[in-house]
Amino acid sequence: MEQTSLTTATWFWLLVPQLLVILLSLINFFKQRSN
Amino acid sequence: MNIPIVSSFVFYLVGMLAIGIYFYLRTKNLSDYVLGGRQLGGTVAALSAGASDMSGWLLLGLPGAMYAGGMNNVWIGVGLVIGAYLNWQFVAKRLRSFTEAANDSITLPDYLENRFNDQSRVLRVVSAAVILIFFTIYTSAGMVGGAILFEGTFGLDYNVALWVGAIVIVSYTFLGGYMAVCWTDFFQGIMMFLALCAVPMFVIGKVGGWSTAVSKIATLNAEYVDIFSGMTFMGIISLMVWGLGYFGQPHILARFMSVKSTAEIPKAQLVGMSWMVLSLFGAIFTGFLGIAYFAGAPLENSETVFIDLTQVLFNPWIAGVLLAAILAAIMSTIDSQLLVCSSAIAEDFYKQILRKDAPQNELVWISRIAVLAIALIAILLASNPDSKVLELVSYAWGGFGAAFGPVIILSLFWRRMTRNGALVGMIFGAVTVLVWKQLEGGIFDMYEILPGFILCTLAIIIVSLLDKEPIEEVVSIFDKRPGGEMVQEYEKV
Repeated sequence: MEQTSLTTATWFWLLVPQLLVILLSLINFFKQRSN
Repeated sequence: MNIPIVSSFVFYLVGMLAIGIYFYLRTKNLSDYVLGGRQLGGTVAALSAGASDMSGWLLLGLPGAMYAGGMNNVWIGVGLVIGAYLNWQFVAKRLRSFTEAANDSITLPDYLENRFNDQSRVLRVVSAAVILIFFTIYTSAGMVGGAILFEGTFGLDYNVALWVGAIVIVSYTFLGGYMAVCWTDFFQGIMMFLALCAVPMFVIGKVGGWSTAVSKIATLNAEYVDIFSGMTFMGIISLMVWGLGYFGQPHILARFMSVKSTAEIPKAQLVGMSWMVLSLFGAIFTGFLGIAYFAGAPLENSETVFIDLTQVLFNPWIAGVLLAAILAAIMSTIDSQLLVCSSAIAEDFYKQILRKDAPQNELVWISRIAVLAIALIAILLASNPDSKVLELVSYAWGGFGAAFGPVIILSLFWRRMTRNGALVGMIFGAVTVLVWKQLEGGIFDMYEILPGFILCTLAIIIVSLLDKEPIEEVVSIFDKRPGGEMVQEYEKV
Protein backbone atom coordinates (compact mmCIF):
# COMPACT_ATOMS: atom_id res chain seq x y z
CA MET A 1 0.00 0.00 0.00
CA GLU A 2 1.26 3.45 -0.84
CA GLN A 3 2.38 5.47 2.20
CA THR A 4 1.15 9.05 2.00
CA SER A 5 1.75 10.22 5.55
CA LEU A 6 4.35 10.07 8.29
CA THR A 7 3.99 7.31 10.89
CA THR A 8 1.80 8.13 13.92
CA ALA A 9 4.80 8.08 16.27
CA THR A 10 6.58 10.53 14.01
CA TRP A 11 3.63 12.93 14.05
CA PHE A 12 3.41 12.60 17.81
CA TRP A 13 7.06 13.44 18.52
CA LEU A 14 7.15 16.05 15.80
CA LEU A 15 4.14 17.96 17.11
CA VAL A 16 3.34 17.26 20.77
CA PRO A 17 6.51 18.49 22.57
CA GLN A 18 6.78 21.56 20.35
CA LEU A 19 3.14 22.60 20.63
CA LEU A 20 3.17 21.86 24.35
CA VAL A 21 6.04 24.27 25.04
CA ILE A 22 4.25 27.00 23.08
CA LEU A 23 1.03 26.32 24.99
CA LEU A 24 2.82 26.40 28.35
CA SER A 25 4.59 29.63 27.37
CA LEU A 26 1.24 31.11 26.38
CA ILE A 27 -0.30 30.16 29.74
CA ASN A 28 2.69 31.69 31.52
CA PHE A 29 2.31 34.87 29.48
CA PHE A 30 -1.40 35.32 30.30
CA LYS A 31 -0.80 34.41 33.95
CA GLN A 32 1.75 37.23 34.17
CA ARG A 33 -0.63 39.67 32.45
CA SER A 34 -3.46 38.91 34.82
CA ASN A 35 -1.23 39.64 37.88
CA MET B 1 28.98 36.86 -9.96
CA ASN B 2 25.21 37.03 -9.60
CA ILE B 3 24.21 40.74 -9.36
CA PRO B 4 20.84 40.34 -7.53
CA ILE B 5 22.35 38.02 -4.91
CA VAL B 6 25.41 40.22 -4.39
CA SER B 7 23.18 43.32 -4.13
CA SER B 8 21.04 41.67 -1.43
CA PHE B 9 24.15 40.72 0.50
CA VAL B 10 25.62 44.22 0.28
CA PHE B 11 22.30 45.79 1.33
CA TYR B 12 22.13 43.42 4.31
CA LEU B 13 25.72 44.06 5.38
CA VAL B 14 25.28 47.85 5.15
CA GLY B 15 22.12 47.58 7.28
CA MET B 16 24.07 45.73 9.99
CA LEU B 17 26.77 48.42 9.96
CA ALA B 18 24.14 51.16 10.28
CA ILE B 19 22.82 49.47 13.46
CA GLY B 20 26.38 49.41 14.84
CA ILE B 21 26.84 53.14 14.22
CA TYR B 22 23.44 53.96 15.74
CA PHE B 23 24.32 52.26 19.03
CA TYR B 24 27.89 53.61 19.02
CA LEU B 25 26.35 57.01 19.61
CA ARG B 26 24.34 55.71 22.59
CA THR B 27 27.00 53.76 24.50
CA LYS B 28 28.12 55.57 27.67
CA ASN B 29 29.56 52.96 30.05
CA LEU B 30 30.73 49.35 30.35
CA SER B 31 27.30 48.09 31.42
CA ASP B 32 25.86 49.67 28.24
CA TYR B 33 28.57 48.07 26.12
CA VAL B 34 28.47 44.50 27.49
CA LEU B 35 24.86 44.25 28.72
CA GLY B 36 22.95 47.11 27.09
CA GLY B 37 22.48 48.74 30.52
CA ARG B 38 19.84 46.04 31.24
CA GLN B 39 17.39 47.87 29.00
CA LEU B 40 16.54 45.15 26.50
CA GLY B 41 12.87 44.64 25.60
CA GLY B 42 11.37 41.14 25.75
CA THR B 43 10.89 40.64 22.00
CA VAL B 44 14.43 41.70 21.09
CA ALA B 45 15.85 39.58 23.92
CA ALA B 46 13.87 36.59 22.68
CA LEU B 47 14.94 36.78 19.03
CA SER B 48 18.48 37.69 20.01
CA ALA B 49 18.70 34.63 22.27
CA GLY B 50 17.29 32.46 19.47
CA ALA B 51 19.48 33.83 16.70
CA SER B 52 22.64 33.69 18.84
CA ASP B 53 21.84 30.12 19.76
CA MET B 54 21.04 28.84 16.28
CA SER B 55 24.12 29.14 14.11
CA GLY B 56 24.47 28.08 10.48
CA TRP B 57 23.39 24.66 11.76
CA LEU B 58 19.74 25.73 11.51
CA LEU B 59 19.88 26.52 7.79
CA LEU B 60 22.60 24.11 6.71
CA GLY B 61 23.29 21.32 9.22
CA LEU B 62 19.76 20.37 10.25
CA PRO B 63 18.16 20.53 6.75
CA GLY B 64 21.21 18.63 5.49
CA ALA B 65 20.76 15.87 8.08
CA MET B 66 17.03 15.65 7.29
CA TYR B 67 17.77 15.44 3.58
CA ALA B 68 20.37 12.72 4.09
CA GLY B 69 18.60 10.62 6.71
CA GLY B 70 14.93 11.59 7.03
CA MET B 71 12.76 11.94 10.12
CA ASN B 72 15.03 10.21 12.67
CA ASN B 73 17.02 13.46 12.78
CA VAL B 74 14.13 15.23 14.50
CA TRP B 75 15.19 14.03 17.97
CA ILE B 76 17.84 16.67 18.45
CA GLY B 77 15.24 19.36 17.71
CA VAL B 78 12.88 17.85 20.31
CA GLY B 79 15.66 17.93 22.91
CA LEU B 80 16.64 21.51 22.06
CA VAL B 81 13.06 22.79 22.27
CA ILE B 82 12.52 21.20 25.69
CA GLY B 83 15.90 22.49 26.97
CA ALA B 84 15.26 26.03 25.74
CA TYR B 85 11.78 26.03 27.28
CA LEU B 86 13.08 24.89 30.69
CA ASN B 87 15.83 27.50 30.51
CA TRP B 88 13.30 30.31 29.93
CA GLN B 89 10.91 28.89 32.50
CA PHE B 90 13.26 28.26 35.41
CA VAL B 91 16.51 30.12 34.82
CA ALA B 92 15.65 33.39 33.04
CA LYS B 93 13.72 35.25 35.76
CA ARG B 94 15.90 34.17 38.65
CA LEU B 95 19.15 34.85 36.82
CA ARG B 96 17.91 38.36 35.96
CA SER B 97 17.08 39.03 39.64
CA PHE B 98 20.12 37.32 41.13
CA THR B 99 22.65 39.04 38.89
CA GLU B 100 21.24 42.41 39.88
CA ALA B 101 21.11 41.47 43.57
CA ALA B 102 24.67 40.09 43.43
CA ASN B 103 26.37 43.49 43.23
CA ASP B 104 24.88 44.19 39.78
CA SER B 105 26.98 41.49 38.08
CA ILE B 106 27.32 42.00 34.34
CA THR B 107 29.07 38.78 33.33
CA LEU B 108 28.65 35.15 34.41
CA PRO B 109 32.09 35.00 36.12
CA ASP B 110 31.17 38.27 37.86
CA TYR B 111 27.91 36.71 39.04
CA LEU B 112 29.58 33.54 40.34
CA GLU B 113 32.15 35.52 42.31
CA ASN B 114 29.54 37.83 43.83
CA ARG B 115 26.98 35.11 44.48
CA PHE B 116 29.49 33.12 46.57
CA ASN B 117 31.39 36.12 47.92
CA ASP B 118 34.57 34.54 46.55
CA GLN B 119 37.46 36.67 47.81
CA SER B 120 40.03 34.32 46.25
CA ARG B 121 38.80 35.23 42.71
CA VAL B 122 39.36 31.63 41.60
CA LEU B 123 35.77 31.20 40.39
CA ARG B 124 35.98 34.36 38.30
CA VAL B 125 39.38 33.59 36.77
CA VAL B 126 38.62 29.93 35.96
CA SER B 127 35.21 30.62 34.43
CA ALA B 128 36.41 33.68 32.47
CA ALA B 129 39.40 31.73 31.13
CA VAL B 130 37.15 28.84 30.02
CA ILE B 131 34.81 31.29 28.27
CA LEU B 132 37.69 33.07 26.59
CA ILE B 133 39.40 29.95 25.25
CA PHE B 134 36.30 28.13 24.03
CA PHE B 135 34.51 31.12 22.54
CA THR B 136 37.61 32.30 20.65
CA ILE B 137 37.81 28.87 19.05
CA TYR B 138 34.04 28.69 18.59
CA THR B 139 34.08 32.11 16.87
CA SER B 140 36.90 30.96 14.66
CA ALA B 141 35.04 27.79 13.68
CA GLY B 142 31.99 29.90 12.79
CA MET B 143 34.14 32.02 10.52
CA VAL B 144 35.59 28.92 8.84
CA GLY B 145 32.07 27.55 8.27
CA GLY B 146 30.89 30.81 6.73
CA ALA B 147 33.93 31.25 4.52
CA ILE B 148 33.86 27.65 3.25
CA LEU B 149 30.17 28.05 2.46
CA PHE B 150 30.70 31.20 0.43
CA GLU B 151 33.75 29.79 -1.30
CA GLY B 152 31.80 26.69 -2.35
CA THR B 153 28.52 28.34 -3.22
CA PHE B 154 29.48 31.61 -4.82
CA GLY B 155 33.04 30.92 -5.94
CA LEU B 156 34.45 33.62 -3.63
CA ASP B 157 38.07 33.20 -2.60
CA TYR B 158 38.20 31.67 0.93
CA ASN B 159 40.28 34.47 2.42
CA VAL B 160 38.21 37.23 0.78
CA ALA B 161 35.01 35.71 2.19
CA LEU B 162 36.64 35.34 5.61
CA TRP B 163 37.86 38.93 5.78
CA VAL B 164 34.70 40.58 4.38
CA GLY B 165 32.46 38.70 6.83
CA ALA B 166 34.81 39.30 9.76
CA ILE B 167 35.19 43.03 9.04
CA VAL B 168 31.42 43.57 9.04
CA ILE B 169 30.82 41.56 12.23
CA VAL B 170 33.74 43.19 14.05
CA SER B 171 32.72 46.68 12.90
CA TYR B 172 29.21 46.64 14.31
CA THR B 173 30.21 44.74 17.45
CA PHE B 174 33.21 47.05 18.00
CA LEU B 175 31.10 50.16 17.58
CA GLY B 176 27.75 49.40 19.11
CA GLY B 177 28.49 46.64 21.62
CA TYR B 178 25.68 44.62 23.17
CA MET B 179 22.71 46.64 21.88
CA ALA B 180 24.08 46.52 18.33
CA VAL B 181 24.60 42.78 18.65
CA CYS B 182 21.06 42.26 20.00
CA TRP B 183 19.37 44.44 17.40
CA THR B 184 21.33 42.91 14.52
CA ASP B 185 20.40 39.51 16.01
CA PHE B 186 16.77 40.63 16.05
CA PHE B 187 16.75 41.41 12.31
CA GLN B 188 18.87 38.36 11.58
CA GLY B 189 16.37 36.24 13.53
CA ILE B 190 13.51 37.63 11.45
CA MET B 191 15.38 36.90 8.22
CA MET B 192 16.11 33.32 9.31
CA PHE B 193 12.47 32.82 10.31
CA LEU B 194 11.05 34.16 7.04
CA ALA B 195 13.50 32.15 4.95
CA LEU B 196 12.67 28.95 6.83
CA CYS B 197 8.93 29.53 6.44
CA ALA B 198 9.10 30.43 2.75
CA VAL B 199 11.27 27.61 1.41
CA PRO B 200 9.28 24.54 2.59
CA MET B 201 5.95 26.16 1.61
CA PHE B 202 7.19 26.71 -1.94
CA VAL B 203 8.61 23.19 -2.13
CA ILE B 204 5.25 21.66 -1.14
CA GLY B 205 3.61 23.58 -3.99
CA LYS B 206 6.26 22.47 -6.47
CA VAL B 207 6.18 18.77 -5.63
CA GLY B 208 2.38 18.51 -5.91
CA GLY B 209 1.30 18.71 -2.27
CA TRP B 210 2.19 17.09 1.06
CA SER B 211 0.78 13.58 0.37
CA THR B 212 2.54 13.33 -2.98
CA ALA B 213 5.81 14.44 -1.38
CA VAL B 214 5.58 11.90 1.45
CA SER B 215 4.61 9.13 -0.92
CA LYS B 216 7.60 9.95 -3.13
CA ILE B 217 9.94 9.98 -0.13
CA ALA B 218 8.53 6.72 1.31
CA THR B 219 8.97 5.05 -2.08
CA LEU B 220 12.65 6.05 -2.10
CA ASN B 221 13.16 4.72 1.42
CA ALA B 222 10.33 3.86 3.86
CA GLU B 223 12.68 4.58 6.80
CA TYR B 224 12.74 8.27 5.92
CA VAL B 225 9.18 8.77 7.22
CA ASP B 226 9.69 7.00 10.55
CA ILE B 227 11.19 8.86 13.51
CA PHE B 228 12.31 5.58 15.14
CA SER B 229 14.04 4.04 12.13
CA GLY B 230 17.58 2.93 12.96
CA MET B 231 17.41 4.52 16.42
CA THR B 232 18.33 2.87 19.71
CA PHE B 233 17.10 4.10 23.09
CA MET B 234 20.57 5.40 23.90
CA GLY B 235 20.80 7.08 20.49
CA ILE B 236 17.56 8.97 21.14
CA ILE B 237 18.64 10.02 24.65
CA SER B 238 22.03 11.10 23.29
CA LEU B 239 20.35 13.44 20.84
CA MET B 240 17.73 14.74 23.25
CA VAL B 241 20.25 15.66 25.96
CA TRP B 242 21.65 18.36 23.68
CA GLY B 243 18.92 20.42 25.33
CA LEU B 244 20.84 20.34 28.64
CA GLY B 245 23.46 22.56 27.03
CA TYR B 246 21.21 25.63 27.26
CA PHE B 247 21.64 26.05 31.01
CA GLY B 248 25.33 26.84 30.63
CA GLN B 249 25.71 28.86 27.42
CA PRO B 250 27.11 32.27 28.45
CA HIS B 251 25.93 34.08 25.29
CA ILE B 252 22.34 32.91 25.79
CA LEU B 253 22.29 33.49 29.56
CA ALA B 254 23.52 37.06 28.93
CA ARG B 255 20.15 37.74 27.19
CA PHE B 256 18.28 36.81 30.37
CA MET B 257 20.54 39.07 32.42
CA SER B 258 19.98 42.06 30.15
CA VAL B 259 16.16 42.08 29.93
CA LYS B 260 14.87 45.36 31.35
CA SER B 261 12.63 43.72 33.95
CA THR B 262 11.52 40.26 35.01
CA ALA B 263 8.00 41.23 33.91
CA GLU B 264 9.27 41.11 30.30
CA ILE B 265 10.34 37.49 30.57
CA PRO B 266 7.03 35.67 29.95
CA LYS B 267 6.58 37.70 26.75
CA ALA B 268 10.17 36.97 25.74
CA GLN B 269 9.64 33.29 26.48
CA LEU B 270 6.51 33.14 24.32
CA VAL B 271 8.15 34.97 21.41
CA GLY B 272 11.38 32.99 21.76
CA MET B 273 9.75 29.58 21.92
CA SER B 274 7.36 30.33 19.03
CA TRP B 275 10.29 31.54 16.93
CA MET B 276 12.33 28.48 17.79
CA VAL B 277 9.60 25.91 17.17
CA LEU B 278 8.50 27.42 13.85
CA SER B 279 12.09 27.89 12.65
CA LEU B 280 12.96 24.31 13.56
CA PHE B 281 9.86 23.09 11.70
CA GLY B 282 10.98 25.15 8.72
CA ALA B 283 14.47 23.64 8.80
CA ILE B 284 13.13 20.10 9.30
CA PHE B 285 10.67 20.33 6.42
CA THR B 286 13.14 22.11 4.12
CA GLY B 287 15.45 19.10 4.35
CA PHE B 288 12.70 16.50 4.36
CA LEU B 289 10.82 17.90 1.36
CA GLY B 290 14.14 18.40 -0.38
CA ILE B 291 14.30 14.58 -0.62
CA ALA B 292 11.14 14.64 -2.78
CA TYR B 293 12.21 17.65 -4.83
CA PHE B 294 15.64 16.29 -5.71
CA ALA B 295 14.51 12.65 -5.99
CA GLY B 296 15.52 12.48 -9.66
CA ALA B 297 18.93 14.10 -9.22
CA PRO B 298 20.24 13.75 -5.65
CA LEU B 299 22.53 16.44 -4.29
CA GLU B 300 26.23 15.74 -3.83
CA ASN B 301 26.42 17.70 -0.60
CA SER B 302 23.31 17.32 1.56
CA GLU B 303 24.13 20.45 3.58
CA THR B 304 23.47 22.70 0.59
CA VAL B 305 19.82 21.59 0.31
CA PHE B 306 18.53 24.96 1.56
CA ILE B 307 20.81 26.87 -0.82
CA ASP B 308 19.93 24.67 -3.82
CA LEU B 309 16.19 24.89 -3.18
CA THR B 310 16.38 28.67 -2.78
CA GLN B 311 18.24 29.07 -6.03
CA VAL B 312 15.89 26.91 -8.09
CA LEU B 313 12.61 28.05 -6.56
CA PHE B 314 12.91 31.81 -6.26
CA ASN B 315 13.50 34.90 -8.33
CA PRO B 316 17.22 35.85 -7.88
CA TRP B 317 16.32 39.00 -5.90
CA ILE B 318 14.24 37.02 -3.41
CA ALA B 319 16.83 34.22 -3.42
CA GLY B 320 19.48 36.82 -2.49
CA VAL B 321 17.51 37.86 0.59
CA LEU B 322 16.86 34.25 1.60
CA LEU B 323 20.52 33.31 1.15
CA ALA B 324 21.58 36.33 3.20
CA ALA B 325 19.66 34.59 6.00
CA ILE B 326 22.44 31.98 6.12
CA LEU B 327 24.96 34.73 6.61
CA ALA B 328 22.64 36.17 9.27
CA ALA B 329 22.53 32.83 11.11
CA ILE B 330 26.32 32.56 11.16
CA MET B 331 26.95 36.20 12.04
CA SER B 332 24.37 36.37 14.84
CA THR B 333 26.19 33.59 16.70
CA ILE B 334 29.72 34.90 16.13
CA ASP B 335 28.94 38.46 17.27
CA SER B 336 27.39 37.30 20.56
CA GLN B 337 30.32 35.02 21.36
CA LEU B 338 32.78 37.75 20.48
CA LEU B 339 31.08 40.13 22.88
CA VAL B 340 31.03 37.60 25.73
CA CYS B 341 34.81 37.19 25.25
CA SER B 342 35.26 40.94 25.24
CA SER B 343 33.29 41.28 28.49
CA ALA B 344 35.44 38.56 30.11
CA ILE B 345 38.56 40.58 29.28
CA ALA B 346 37.23 44.04 30.18
CA GLU B 347 35.17 43.21 33.27
CA ASP B 348 36.65 40.02 34.68
CA PHE B 349 40.35 40.58 34.06
CA TYR B 350 40.99 44.26 33.38
CA LYS B 351 38.52 45.97 35.70
CA GLN B 352 38.43 43.45 38.53
CA ILE B 353 42.08 42.41 38.62
CA LEU B 354 44.29 44.89 36.79
CA ARG B 355 42.73 48.34 37.21
CA LYS B 356 39.95 48.54 39.74
CA ASP B 357 39.50 52.29 39.41
CA ALA B 358 39.45 52.45 35.62
CA PRO B 359 36.92 55.05 34.41
CA GLN B 360 33.92 53.84 32.39
CA ASN B 361 35.14 55.40 29.17
CA GLU B 362 38.42 53.51 29.42
CA LEU B 363 36.57 50.23 30.10
CA VAL B 364 34.39 50.67 27.03
CA TRP B 365 37.49 51.18 24.91
CA ILE B 366 39.21 48.18 26.49
CA SER B 367 36.12 46.14 25.50
CA ARG B 368 36.31 47.47 21.95
CA ILE B 369 40.01 46.66 21.70
CA ALA B 370 39.25 43.20 23.13
CA VAL B 371 36.64 42.61 20.40
CA LEU B 372 39.27 43.50 17.82
CA ALA B 373 42.00 41.37 19.41
CA ILE B 374 39.83 38.26 19.79
CA ALA B 375 38.49 38.65 16.26
CA LEU B 376 42.07 38.85 14.95
CA ILE B 377 43.07 35.68 16.80
CA ALA B 378 39.91 33.99 15.49
CA ILE B 379 40.70 35.09 11.92
CA LEU B 380 44.28 33.83 12.25
CA LEU B 381 43.01 30.46 13.47
CA ALA B 382 40.39 30.43 10.71
CA SER B 383 42.91 31.22 7.98
CA ASN B 384 43.95 27.58 8.24
CA PRO B 385 40.63 25.73 8.03
CA ASP B 386 42.37 22.39 8.62
CA SER B 387 43.79 23.53 11.95
CA LYS B 388 43.40 20.81 14.58
CA VAL B 389 42.57 23.40 17.22
CA LEU B 390 39.16 23.89 15.59
CA GLU B 391 38.27 20.33 16.55
CA LEU B 392 38.00 21.65 20.09
CA VAL B 393 34.75 23.33 19.13
CA SER B 394 32.92 20.03 19.46
CA TYR B 395 33.66 20.25 23.20
CA ALA B 396 32.20 23.72 23.55
CA TRP B 397 28.43 23.07 23.69
CA GLY B 398 28.80 20.02 25.93
CA GLY B 399 31.58 21.61 27.99
CA PHE B 400 29.64 24.80 28.78
CA GLY B 401 26.47 22.82 29.41
CA ALA B 402 28.11 20.36 31.81
CA ALA B 403 30.52 22.76 33.55
CA PHE B 404 28.30 25.84 33.93
CA GLY B 405 24.74 24.46 33.63
CA PRO B 406 24.36 22.75 37.04
CA VAL B 407 26.38 25.52 38.72
CA ILE B 408 23.99 28.18 37.42
CA ILE B 409 20.83 26.20 38.19
CA LEU B 410 21.83 25.24 41.74
CA SER B 411 23.16 28.73 42.47
CA LEU B 412 19.68 30.05 41.68
CA PHE B 413 17.69 27.44 43.59
CA TRP B 414 19.83 26.14 46.45
CA ARG B 415 20.61 28.43 49.34
CA ARG B 416 23.08 25.98 50.90
CA MET B 417 25.40 25.84 47.85
CA THR B 418 28.96 26.96 48.56
CA ARG B 419 31.84 28.39 46.57
CA ASN B 420 33.85 25.15 46.88
CA GLY B 421 30.84 23.22 45.64
CA ALA B 422 30.61 25.48 42.59
CA LEU B 423 34.32 25.22 41.85
CA VAL B 424 34.59 21.45 42.22
CA GLY B 425 31.35 20.97 40.25
CA MET B 426 32.63 23.11 37.40
CA ILE B 427 35.89 21.15 37.24
CA PHE B 428 34.07 17.78 37.43
CA GLY B 429 31.69 18.78 34.63
CA ALA B 430 34.47 19.98 32.33
CA VAL B 431 36.82 17.04 32.99
CA THR B 432 34.03 14.48 32.50
CA VAL B 433 33.23 15.96 29.08
CA LEU B 434 36.89 15.91 28.04
CA VAL B 435 37.54 12.35 29.26
CA TRP B 436 34.21 10.81 28.15
CA LYS B 437 34.79 12.03 24.60
CA GLN B 438 38.04 10.04 24.36
CA LEU B 439 36.33 6.76 25.26
CA GLU B 440 34.32 4.57 22.91
CA GLY B 441 31.81 1.72 22.98
CA GLY B 442 28.75 0.91 25.08
CA ILE B 443 27.75 3.65 27.44
CA PHE B 444 30.65 5.83 26.27
CA ASP B 445 28.84 6.39 22.97
CA MET B 446 26.39 8.53 24.92
CA TYR B 447 26.77 12.29 24.31
CA GLU B 448 29.18 13.42 27.04
CA ILE B 449 27.00 16.29 28.24
CA LEU B 450 24.75 13.88 30.19
CA PRO B 451 27.42 12.24 32.39
CA GLY B 452 29.13 15.63 32.73
CA PHE B 453 25.91 17.28 33.86
CA ILE B 454 25.11 14.51 36.36
CA LEU B 455 28.63 14.37 37.87
CA CYS B 456 28.82 18.16 38.10
CA THR B 457 25.49 18.22 39.96
CA LEU B 458 26.55 15.44 42.35
CA ALA B 459 29.91 17.12 43.00
CA ILE B 460 28.22 20.43 43.84
CA ILE B 461 25.78 18.79 46.24
CA ILE B 462 28.32 16.55 48.01
CA VAL B 463 31.05 19.21 48.35
CA SER B 464 28.58 21.89 49.47
CA LEU B 465 27.11 19.61 52.14
CA LEU B 466 30.57 18.64 53.41
CA ASP B 467 31.60 22.29 53.38
CA LYS B 468 30.85 24.84 56.10
CA GLU B 469 27.45 26.53 55.79
CA PRO B 470 27.58 29.64 53.61
CA ILE B 471 28.22 32.85 55.52
CA GLU B 472 25.58 35.54 56.03
CA GLU B 473 26.87 37.69 53.11
CA VAL B 474 26.35 34.77 50.74
CA VAL B 475 22.83 33.82 51.80
CA SER B 476 21.84 37.47 51.92
CA ILE B 477 22.37 37.63 48.14
CA PHE B 478 20.02 34.71 47.85
CA ASP B 479 17.46 36.44 50.06
CA LYS B 480 17.72 40.05 48.99
CA ARG B 481 16.81 39.58 45.33
CA PRO B 482 13.23 40.65 44.53
CA GLY B 483 10.94 37.99 45.96
CA GLY B 484 13.86 36.37 47.78
CA GLU B 485 12.33 36.43 51.24
CA MET B 486 9.17 34.80 49.97
CA VAL B 487 11.20 32.00 48.45
CA GLN B 488 13.13 31.63 51.71
CA GLU B 489 9.95 31.36 53.74
CA TYR B 490 8.53 28.83 51.31
CA GLU B 491 11.68 26.73 51.43
CA LYS B 492 11.68 26.71 55.23
CA VAL B 493 8.19 25.23 55.16
